[in-house]
Amino acid sequence: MNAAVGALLKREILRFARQRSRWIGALGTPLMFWLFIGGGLGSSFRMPGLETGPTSYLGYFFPGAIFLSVLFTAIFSTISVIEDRHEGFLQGVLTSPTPPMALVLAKMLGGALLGLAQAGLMLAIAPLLGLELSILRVLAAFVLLFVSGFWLTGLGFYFAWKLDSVQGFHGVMNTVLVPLWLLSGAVFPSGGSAVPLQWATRLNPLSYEVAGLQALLWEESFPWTAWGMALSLGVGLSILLVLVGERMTSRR
Amino acid sequence: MEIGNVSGSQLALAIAVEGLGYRYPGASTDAVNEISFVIPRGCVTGILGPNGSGKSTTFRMLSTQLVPSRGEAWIDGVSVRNNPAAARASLGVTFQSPSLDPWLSVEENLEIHGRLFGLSRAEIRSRTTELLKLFGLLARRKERVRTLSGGLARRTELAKTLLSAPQILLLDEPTTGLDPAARVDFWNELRKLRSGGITIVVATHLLEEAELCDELLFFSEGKVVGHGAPDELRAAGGREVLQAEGSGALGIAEKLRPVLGMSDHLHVEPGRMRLETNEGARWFEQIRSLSTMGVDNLRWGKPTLADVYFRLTGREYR
Repeated sequence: MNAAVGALLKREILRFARQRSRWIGALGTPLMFWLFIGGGLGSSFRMPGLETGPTSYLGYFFPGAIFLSVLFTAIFSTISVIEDRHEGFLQGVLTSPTPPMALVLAKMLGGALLGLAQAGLMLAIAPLLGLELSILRVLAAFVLLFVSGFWLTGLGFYFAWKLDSVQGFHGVMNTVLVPLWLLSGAVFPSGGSAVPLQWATRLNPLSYEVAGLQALLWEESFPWTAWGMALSLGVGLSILLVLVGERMTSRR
Repeated sequence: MEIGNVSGSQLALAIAVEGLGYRYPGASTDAVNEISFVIPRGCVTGILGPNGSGKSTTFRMLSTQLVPSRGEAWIDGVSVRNNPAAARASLGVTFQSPSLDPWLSVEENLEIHGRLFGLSRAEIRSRTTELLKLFGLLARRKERVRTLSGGLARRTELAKTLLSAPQILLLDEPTTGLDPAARVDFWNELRKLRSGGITIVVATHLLEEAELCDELLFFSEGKVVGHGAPDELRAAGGREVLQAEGSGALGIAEKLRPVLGMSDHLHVEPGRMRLETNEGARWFEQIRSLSTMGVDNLRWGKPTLADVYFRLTGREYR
C-alpha cells in the first residue's frame, strides 16, 4: 500500500503545482485577509481579553491567517475528491486492488504537506512583526501545522466524499469550515465575546490548535502545555478521521 | 484464487454469474434481476442492450463497484462479493467516461495506475514503453492528457488498463466520443488483444459493434434475454424479415393479415409494419404491389441484431 500512497501523494503535489489558481486561492487569500482585516481593524478596535502577547491586531491575527492558509489548502485539496469523481479518476482507483485507505491517506497527507508549505511561506513574514523565532519554535510550529492540516483535510474529505457537486461543497465550506475558523480565536479573542460564542470557541477543536500556535509565536517561554494539548488533540482527530475515511471509502 | 466456494468448471471460465441481482436503494424494481451466464476465456463478449436495460449495473457489479443484492459473480474464479480486491487484480476496467487525470501526462497516468496495481518501477517503465509503442503514443508520452484528442485519450486509457497485464478486460461503452476511423482502430486493437488470449467483455448499445463480438448477451429490463454468437442468434429464428415504413404501413398490414400463414409473425406499430416469415420473396412482392398505399421504406433480408432483439423482447431496439 505504501507505493500506492506514494504515487497518489505525488499526484496531489503535481496537480497542485500545475494549477496556478490553487496557489492564489490558498496563499493569496489568507495573505489578503491578514493585510486587509488586520490592517483595517487594527487601529479601530481595542481587544478585551488580550492582555499579553502581540502589541497590534495585525500581530494577533497573524497565527489565525496562517491557519486560514492551512484551512484553504485542506478545502481545495478535498474539492479534488469531487473533481476526481467527475473526471473518472476515482473509479479507476476504486477498481484497483489497492485498498481505499491509500486514497484517504494520500489525500490527507497531500493536504497537510501543501498546507504546511504555504503556512511555512507565511511564517517567513514573522520577522516583519518583530518575531524572532528559535529553531525549536519553528519546528514545533511546523509539526502543529502539519497535524492540523492533516485532520482539517480529513474533515474536508468527509464532506467531499458525501457530496456530489462542487457547489454543494462550497455550501459546506461556508457554513461549517469557515465558521470553524472564525470561532477559533483566530480573528478575535473569545474572552471578550458573547457567552454563546465563548462556548462555541471552547467546543471548537480548532481553537486549541490556533491557541497552540499563538502561544508558540507570542509567549516568552516555550508553551509546552498549549502546544502539547494542541498536538494531542490534533493527533487524536487525525486518527479518528483516518478511520472514518477508511470506513466511508470501503463501503461500496 | 478462491477454490473453496467455486466449482472446477467455474475455474475454467473467465467470468461466471449466477442469480445476480441488484436493486438501487429506494428503487421499487430491480435494475438487474437474477441473471446467470458464463463467459469463456479468450473471446470477445458483447453486453448489448438499450439504456436502462441493466448492462451498466451488471458491469458495475462485475468490476466490484457495486455489491450484488443477490446472487454471485466470479472473476477468474474469485468471488466479487467475498474477495473484491483479489477479483480486481485480474481485471482491467475501462469506463465509459475516461478515468485519466487530465493534469498529468500520459506517462504519469500510467505510472500511478501501475503503482495502484503493485507493479515495481522497473516493470512500469518497461511495460509503459511497450504499450505506448503499441498504441502509437510514445512520442506523446510527456503530453498532459487534457491536451490530447478524444481518440488519443481513449488509446491512453486502454494502454493504462493493459499495464497490469490483466487477463480479463471489462470495457464499458469504450468507443464513446470516438470518430468512425478511431473506432475501427480501437476494434483492431481489441482483436489483437484477443488473439493474445485476453478475455474481453464490452458493454455497448451500438449494434455495429455487437456484430464484431464472438458472443453476445442481450439485456432487456434487467434480464439476459439472449446469449450466443451473433450468427447463432440471427439463425435461431430461421426466418427472413420484411419491414415497411410509411403512412400506409397499417393499411398494408390489415390487407395481409387474413392471408398470412401460421408461421408468419406480423407486428404493427404506427408508421411501421414488420413481418417475420419463411416466404420473404412472396410477401416482398405483395407489399411492393401495395406500396402506392404509402410506403417510404421497404426492407427485406436476413434478420439483423435489431430484429433478433425485437424477436426476443417484442420491442424495437432503441
